Amino acid sequence: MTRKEMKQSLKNAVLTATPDVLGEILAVQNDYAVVEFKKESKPKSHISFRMASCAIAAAFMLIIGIFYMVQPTVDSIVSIDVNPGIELSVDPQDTVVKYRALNEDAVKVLDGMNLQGTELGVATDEIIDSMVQKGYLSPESPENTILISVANDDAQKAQRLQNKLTTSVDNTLKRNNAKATILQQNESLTDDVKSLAKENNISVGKADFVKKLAATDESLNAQDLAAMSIKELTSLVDIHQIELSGVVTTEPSSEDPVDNDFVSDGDDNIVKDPPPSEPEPDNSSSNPSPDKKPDKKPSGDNDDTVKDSGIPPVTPPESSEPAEEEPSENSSSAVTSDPTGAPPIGDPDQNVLIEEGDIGPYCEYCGNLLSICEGKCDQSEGKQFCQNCGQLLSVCNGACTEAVEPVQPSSAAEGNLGKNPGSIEGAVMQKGT
Amino acid sequence: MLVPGNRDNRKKEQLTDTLMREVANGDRTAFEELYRMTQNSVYCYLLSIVKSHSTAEDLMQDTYLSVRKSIQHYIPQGKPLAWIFTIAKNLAYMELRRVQKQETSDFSDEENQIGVDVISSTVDNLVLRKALEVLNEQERKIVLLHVTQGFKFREVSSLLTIPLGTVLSCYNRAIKKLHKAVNESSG
Repeated sequence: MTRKEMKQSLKNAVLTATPDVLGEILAVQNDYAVVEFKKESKPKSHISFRMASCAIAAAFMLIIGIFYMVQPTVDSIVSIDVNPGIELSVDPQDTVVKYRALNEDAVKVLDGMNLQGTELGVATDEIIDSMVQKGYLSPESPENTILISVANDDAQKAQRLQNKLTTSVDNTLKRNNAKATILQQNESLTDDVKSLAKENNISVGKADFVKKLAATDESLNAQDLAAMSIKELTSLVDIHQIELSGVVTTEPSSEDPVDNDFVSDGDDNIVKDPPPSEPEPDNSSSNPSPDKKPDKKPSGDNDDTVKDSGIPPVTPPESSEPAEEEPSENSSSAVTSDPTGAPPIGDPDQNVLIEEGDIGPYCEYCGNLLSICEGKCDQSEGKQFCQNCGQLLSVCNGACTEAVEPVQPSSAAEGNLGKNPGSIEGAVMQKGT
Repeated sequence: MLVPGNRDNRKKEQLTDTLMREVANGDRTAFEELYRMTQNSVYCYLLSIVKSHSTAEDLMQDTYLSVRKSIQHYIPQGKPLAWIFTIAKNLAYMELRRVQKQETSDFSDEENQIGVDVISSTVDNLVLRKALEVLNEQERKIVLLHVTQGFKFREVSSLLTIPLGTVLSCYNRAIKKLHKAVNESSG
């Protein structure tokens, strides 16, 4: 046998002897593969599915959390209405997070402004400045009226914001030599108010004001009122003699009440004063008609200073003369006081000035002259006033009939006026005409 | 390069790593292909170690089971057959150790069964039996892989991690020894 034959025989022998165990291997492998798949693959996929679900859920919650954290929180809604209506959404830090113009005039006022992120006081300053510059609040006009409404669930915070806004507006008006009556209100954002605001494209503050006005007088339609400017609304209030005491708080912007274009009478009606003119420093006296508000009574701190009443008037010191006095040319229609400059009768909240020439007994309930009161006061609060001198009985104590000198009125009156020289409540509020 | 050296194996050896990946992915067809490509070499290698057809057959089965089981740990280096041979060698040595511990009969008794049970040709049976008898383990590996599977000496050297010169000299010496033994037996 050659080597070649030997090699071929060896090759043939091995190839022939090679067993085929594939079937057995596959039979075993099939089971093995199934077991392996169950042991390894399933748990892995299960765990990965759980992990993926958790990861997706966590990411989703994270995104939502970040979204809400980034979103600014609106704490209060402040509306400023003149004719331009502007609504400011304010966060708890009194920063404007959103603002919108509610009519074309407001668009003009806000033209070029970016109030987002500014402090509320600064934003208000800019808005009022812009209104003055663009003629919506005219320094010459005596009828400027601004409605400031604050909507906040927290009454204390709403009041704080109102005070802040009023101060800001007041300062801005002074800086621009403008005057305006500021109507304040804390609105309640009911669905009716919101829908009215949305339908008429007005601020929620104005909508609330309109709704309250319509509620006071059945002849008024809220839809019609919504179309009016604040100035027109106040004129309407004047015409209809609507009591605003339960509607808004009125505050003049100027520190000088005589200079105010609008003052409210004792009934909180918005009334219009004649345009201001040069005040007379000393001897002139303001002569608005006596207030007819029945529930307001002169304070016992003030003296009766009515001339020719048969009761000796209080003679206040010269310094007690009110700083603000009606112009002389309006004296006939203005509230008068004692020629000596005695302060008018009235409590700090509701001083009553008696027209010159009015004499006679006083209403024992409201302290006004009976010719003025005519028994129409509501005789509320149980306070009684001396019918002779008009002071509180506790103050007068019958002294007016016994003594010639009245009971130390000047200092009280002075103090009273000194407390509120520029306040509307510091003087009798009555129409100037 | 590690696959049997016939002409078709040139193409197949390029697919080996790909095949291993497919087998690792659980592809049954790929495993069957891998088995067909390597069964002769694996059997030859096992037979050269254990010198017993039946034991080689059992070890061959265990080898492929281990391959299938451990295929996830295979690192593609272009030497899949060397990896399979390593598995086969470890299994075979384990079996040898087990047999030695049990002091069972020598494989030489079973060597005769190769020709009787499996190989029909008497000459072929004789040659194979003489090869298993007269050659030592290293010579058997080299001769069988080169002669029966067509591996080049360089490939045998790489597979068995034996220097090429050793492979050549060992092969020549083994062939002479085998030729002499076969001629003496055939008389």
